[in-house]
Amino acid sequence: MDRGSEDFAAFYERHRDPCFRAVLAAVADRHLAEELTAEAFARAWAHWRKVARHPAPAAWVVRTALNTHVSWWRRRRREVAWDAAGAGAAERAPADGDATAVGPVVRDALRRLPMRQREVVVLRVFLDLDTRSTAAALGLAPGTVQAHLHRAMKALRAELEDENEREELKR
Amino acid sequence: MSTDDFDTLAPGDEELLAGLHRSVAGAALTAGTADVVALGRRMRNRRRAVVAGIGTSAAAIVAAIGVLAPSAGTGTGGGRDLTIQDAGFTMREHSDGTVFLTVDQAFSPTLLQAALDKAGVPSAVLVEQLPAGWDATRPIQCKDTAAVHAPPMPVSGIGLAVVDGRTEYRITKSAVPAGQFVTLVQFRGRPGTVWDSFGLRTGRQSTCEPEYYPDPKPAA
Repeated sequence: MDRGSEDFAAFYERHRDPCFRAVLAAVADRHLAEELTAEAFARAWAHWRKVARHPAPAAWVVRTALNTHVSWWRRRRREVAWDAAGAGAAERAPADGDATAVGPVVRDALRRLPMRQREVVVLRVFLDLDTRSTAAALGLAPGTVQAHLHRAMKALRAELEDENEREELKR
Repeated sequence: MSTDDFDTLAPGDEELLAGLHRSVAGAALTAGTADVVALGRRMRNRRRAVVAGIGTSAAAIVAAIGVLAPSAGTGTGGGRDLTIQDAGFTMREHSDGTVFLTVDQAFSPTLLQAALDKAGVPSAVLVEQLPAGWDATRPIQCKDTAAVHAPPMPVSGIGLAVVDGRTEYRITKSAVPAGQFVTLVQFRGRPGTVWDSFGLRTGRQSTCEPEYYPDPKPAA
């Protein structure tokens, strides 16, 4: 195994699960998240010399996966999943370890965020990048990252509050 | 997760962030390094093939059409189970009438159309060379016209799945409504970039005016 392959293998082993969780949180479909993440890592392998020099290669993978998802979403609008019942179940099924009420509501809200805000949230929250690294990964100014995060958190918070109010009204 | 450099944290934000984390905690990617590397290698080879202008040979086309003849069927369970490959696309027809199709970045629409016709799939296959300046990495579709347009409702039995990292189109022949056609349009942009548009269309697509898919509506 050459040096580049070893580097990629180490990178993959270290970042595969955090990247997968970030994508899963954003698309909320386990099978789709697996496909998108694996494909994004494959692209990273194919362009490894470039990706290895990226300020945050894991962020590159997540962004690539999410951009691919936009294409999927658009392409699949007129189509149905092959196994419609199974796909629907996958869409609704909570991810591993989700035992909280906040999970599904916030996850849905996360998916409705504008792309840039969603990218900032998944990089900051799931890859644990700081503002400076997130900004470098997205090619934005740190202040812009803060602004996107602020708006995203506000939107997520509003969704959660609305949900709480709806729950109150039901009681 | 560190929130040290969060600009501001409102009451409840910590809980919100923790909830997001918990919602995917423990989820793990099943693909191994070897799977990902194999997929990456295939992607790289396909790109190189297109850039090098490697197409489908006439001999392969003839051979592939020949394989579709009923006498070539391997037969499973009393029905046909046919496969053609190595001609820029792979097509399998199961005995239950389901057709499985994958296409490469360089395939002959004439050959594929002939194969689908032979299999009895109402279909239209086009390859559109995009004008200079178009970006085939973005989703593209044919503009609707009065004669050819998207059907009002999606149909169960026509779809796609990703198998070994490749998109596989799956077509149940009996699911195609009368007057509709399984339509595959490959938009070719600058070397190495293509966009495949697949789905049912009402009316048979014979020409195509490309348009980018509209951007998704921003969140409310």
